[in-house]
Amino acid sequence: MRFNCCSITIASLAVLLGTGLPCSAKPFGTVVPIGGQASDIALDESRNVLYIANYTANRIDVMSTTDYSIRTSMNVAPQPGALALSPDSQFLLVAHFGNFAPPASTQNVITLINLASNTRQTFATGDAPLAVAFVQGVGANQNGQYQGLITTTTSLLMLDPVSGALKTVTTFANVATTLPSALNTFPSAVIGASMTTTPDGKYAFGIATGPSNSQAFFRFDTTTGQVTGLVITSTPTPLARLSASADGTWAMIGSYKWTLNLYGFDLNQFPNAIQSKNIGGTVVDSKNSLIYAQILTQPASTSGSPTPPPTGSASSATPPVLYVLDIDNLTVRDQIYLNENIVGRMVLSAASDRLYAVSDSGVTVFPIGQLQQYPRLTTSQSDVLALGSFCDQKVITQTLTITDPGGGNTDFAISAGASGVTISPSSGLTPATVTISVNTSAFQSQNGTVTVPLTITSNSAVNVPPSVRLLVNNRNPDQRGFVVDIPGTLTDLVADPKRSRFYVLRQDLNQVLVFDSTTFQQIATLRTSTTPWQMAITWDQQYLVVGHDNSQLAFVYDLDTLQTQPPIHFPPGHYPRSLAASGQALLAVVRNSSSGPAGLVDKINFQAQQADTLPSLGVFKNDVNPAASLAPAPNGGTILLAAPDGNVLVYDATADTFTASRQDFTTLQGAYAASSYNTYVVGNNVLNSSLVPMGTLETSSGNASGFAFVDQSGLRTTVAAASSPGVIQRVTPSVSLGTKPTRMAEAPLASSTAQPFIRTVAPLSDRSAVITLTTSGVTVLPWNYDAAVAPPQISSVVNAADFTQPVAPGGLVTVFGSQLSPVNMASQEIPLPTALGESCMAINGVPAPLLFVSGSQINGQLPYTVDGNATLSLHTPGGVSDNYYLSITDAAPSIFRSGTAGPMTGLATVLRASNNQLVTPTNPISSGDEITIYATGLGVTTPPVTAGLPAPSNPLALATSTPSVTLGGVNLTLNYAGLAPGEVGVYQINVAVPHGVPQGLDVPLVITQGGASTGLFVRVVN
Amino acid sequence: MRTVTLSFLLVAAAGLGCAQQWEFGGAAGAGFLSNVGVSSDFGSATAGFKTGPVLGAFVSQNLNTHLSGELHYDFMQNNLRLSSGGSEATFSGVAHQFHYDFTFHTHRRGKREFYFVAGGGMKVFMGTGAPQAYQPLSQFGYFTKTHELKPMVTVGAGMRYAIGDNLFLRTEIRDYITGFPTSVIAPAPGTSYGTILNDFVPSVGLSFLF
Repeated sequence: MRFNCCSITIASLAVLLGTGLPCSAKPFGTVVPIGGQASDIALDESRNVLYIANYTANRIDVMSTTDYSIRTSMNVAPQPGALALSPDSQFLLVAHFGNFAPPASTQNVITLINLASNTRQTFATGDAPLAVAFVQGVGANQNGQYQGLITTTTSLLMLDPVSGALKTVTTFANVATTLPSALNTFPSAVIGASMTTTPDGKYAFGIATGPSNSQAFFRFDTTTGQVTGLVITSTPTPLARLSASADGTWAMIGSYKWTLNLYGFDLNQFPNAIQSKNIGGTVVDSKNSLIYAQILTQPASTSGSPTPPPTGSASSATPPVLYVLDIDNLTVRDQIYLNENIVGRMVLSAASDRLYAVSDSGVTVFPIGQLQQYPRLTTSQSDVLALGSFCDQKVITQTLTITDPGGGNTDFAISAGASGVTISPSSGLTPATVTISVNTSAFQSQNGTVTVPLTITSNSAVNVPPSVRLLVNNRNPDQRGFVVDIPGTLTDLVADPKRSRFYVLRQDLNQVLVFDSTTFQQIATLRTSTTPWQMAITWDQQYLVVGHDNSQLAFVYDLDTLQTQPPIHFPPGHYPRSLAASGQALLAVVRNSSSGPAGLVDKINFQAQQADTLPSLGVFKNDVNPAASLAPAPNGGTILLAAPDGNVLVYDATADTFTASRQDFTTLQGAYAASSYNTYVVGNNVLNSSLVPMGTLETSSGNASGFAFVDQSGLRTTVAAASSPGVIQRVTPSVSLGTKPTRMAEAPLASSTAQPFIRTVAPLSDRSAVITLTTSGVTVLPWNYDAAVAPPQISSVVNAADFTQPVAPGGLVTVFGSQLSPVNMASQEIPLPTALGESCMAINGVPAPLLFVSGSQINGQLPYTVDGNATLSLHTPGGVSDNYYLSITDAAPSIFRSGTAGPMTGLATVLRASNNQLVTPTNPISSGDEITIYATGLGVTTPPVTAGLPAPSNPLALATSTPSVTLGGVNLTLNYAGLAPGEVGVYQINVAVPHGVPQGLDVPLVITQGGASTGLFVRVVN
Repeated sequence: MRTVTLSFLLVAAAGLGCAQQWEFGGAAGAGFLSNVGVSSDFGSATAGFKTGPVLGAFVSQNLNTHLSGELHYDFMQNNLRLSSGGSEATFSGVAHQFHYDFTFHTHRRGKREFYFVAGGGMKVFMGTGAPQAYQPLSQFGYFTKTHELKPMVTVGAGMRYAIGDNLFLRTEIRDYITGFPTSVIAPAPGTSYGTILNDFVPSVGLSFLF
């Protein structure tokens, strides 16, 4: 009872608040009031009308789908609660819920309206009819004539609309409730029962909610005449709004996706859904692989799952929104503001371009086929990084592009909730590129990463604008590691034990992100099921298994091919959250939403792709906290189970059972790890093989975030605050001693109440680096991050094209030397960053954009504003290099030697325009050819370009000093000389080859600019 | 250009000795080209042309009982080829050739007549493939989309069989001897190529005497 009251309160709150939109929202769709309470709708596209069951006015309103006007009404028997139209549009079946007094009322009838002849028949059903549908005939009735299917409070009936024969298909427990209902509510039996069919009428799905809140859900297969049913006791209780896939293999029940399979069924549920008595609706668009749904959710901070929807939130305190979801894992693609709440069936037109929904006032019509033409907002990225460097403690500028996905000019306003951040322009029309300037002095006291939410609003956009976070990092030289930005909610990190990869779980988009651990670039994205929680690698190191908080499946991926394998099915109601593999067993901690303990340990039969609940955990009861996490020992000998309620257990692979269980703490959270030497770490506590506390790790550096064993020692991260730098240190657990605490570039992720244990440290298997899950994504630390680092030594500075000495303003340069960077890293950002990895380079004290850093080589760009003699210095964690003096000439053209063709590398970047291939002896220059030469060092341009920024395409940035090009001594016709559009520091020279140029295998091609020249030999034929 | 002019002068000179009968015909066959050896620091290879079809036409003038003169045009499909160590690289190519040959006839034996030919002309080798920045076996040579004119010597023998009053069936084999076209298959630096290329062409044709 208390549960129901709570649900009604939330639903009522949503009704009250759902009518108010923020000033920046413009709802989508047209509301058609009907002067009563709509209970069901049926779309008749052959007549261009929508039939609306007006439950309280005892009539069927007929709405024109052309102008959305109520064209006419048909008075019918009292309380028309459900409608169904036969697929041939001949019959309209109406259920009348007249259950004023049990066991039955004479008002419990169905009306069959022959729309062709405009005649009616009424049939008494005895028990109150709750839902109706039309399906294909079964058995002797397989004559092409559709049959009516009626759910009553006790049974499933079938009506032959031609003969009027009414027979019972099956019966079930009485789900009757009676009228009248309380004020301001809708009769629960009417809205607690629903049926839907596939478009071909082959399958019908139905649901009926009983008085005790248990729900019967069934699928009627007309090909076999079989009814497949189950009783659902899920939390939250599914709202009885149904929509089936076109092939009849799955259906949406409120916020749940019910999929039939060989093992029975699987359930997925939308994250953070809360129970609703009436608000919500769903419809499957199989043609476009989408689901449209309104689902009530609660804010992430108060939910059982930490996952907010990726683009804004949609709690009951926010305006009603229509989710656009992916059909496979319910990932939110978009959120559209609604005028009012959906409170009943949603129907999609055959062309999937128009959506009709029962709503508070009657019906709302959504022209979803024209959504592209409606104003919407999106952004070029979810994160904007403002990474300061110790070279540059000034103002950092970054850009963000705001567009309308439909290409329109939509108004927007953008603001940042922090001082020291300015945005220009802060409002305007899309498409727009806004510049975000961060005054690092405003963040001087915070050396970690400060997350500043950027709020985007619009007066005309119909969608919820995406949320963007500005990440400001203001590190000091002693802070180690470099940050790789990964937007979203990250919940787990695993290093591949035999491949050069690591895996990051992105929960909000239901993805496993696969990274190359040599380049730290993302190389693949694997789709998971709903709300991935934790990963495990099988003991044979062949498969990655992912558990989910909102799916009763564990997904499996072959790590050699990165292909998805058949999933592992868990028992009904079991959501596998945490997984771990030992040499003996693959175990899972599941959240149990069916009867029994809230948390259980299931054992996975990998070959059979099924999991079964362990009857007991050895001598201990199988009843664990659902937020418990499993940590495998690297040698496969044991698995640690750590629970936030202070319980710890250990599974011994040799004994194939749990051998120890203790509760020496009232709460536990943060780090958790198992070693191969029977030592365990949970939070700040070190436990021995019997899980007896044997020491406590220091807490002065902050709360425990992550721990990973490396042989008998370990790596530990702690965090004082999200915006402070975290600390990493090497730990000897046997003596609870941490050494060499080192400040990180930013803070590791802290655990939360919803997910008290998150793995945030992953040492790479080749021991080249340590990956940590941190505020902006991951932070990469060199394996010897705490080793003494010598200052950088510069040996030469040359142009980056052919590694010769002359360099020019704006040119790309290469710095050779030693100790130039602790890590190898290439920039992926535009504009180029002035700090990369842990290095930054200054020319005459001005930070220079960097493309690549390594221990012996750094590639960067000279500013366009330097000329003559200049000094270059390099800053690394080891210190500052001696000044390197270089001479910068106005022009120093040099042709890149970075071309490749087949196995050949180091080719000059001279291309024939006719085939866009590099000039080589087998692709020689011919008379009449146009060739393109890519070079650097052509100096300043008109218009000028800022270093680090890509060259414009309109207007083109022409080299101020025009070069000349000769081939075999013959002048070539110069068509263009300037920066290559979209490139940084790369110039392009286009020349035409006249007839009569000398032929040969080694004809000199020479570029001359100012007093400088460069050349190479090419083959020329006639 | 000078050699072309010389060829046409030869043809014209033959025409001056105009006698009583002319013969016109066409032939089809296949060209079997020899390869030349390629040696370099990278190893050895062979360069040449793949076997391809040959189509030709000719006009012949009987000068006397045992001698006639023939003007020929032949089109040859000769794809370029480099091979070494089991690897082969190819490139599309064709050739056109004009030649004037003297034909020495034997006494007619029944309907059959044997003859020997010797002459000369010009052959145009043409690389017609699409140039690529990378070509396999390019350490030995470069296929080139260009053309190259080479003087040519022709020798051969055949048999003419009368199948009608004025209709003859010809079967013959000729060897077209040229220098190797080093512009079409350009030797890579450091390689040395053989110099003579033989193109053996067996063919069958029909001719009409008028």
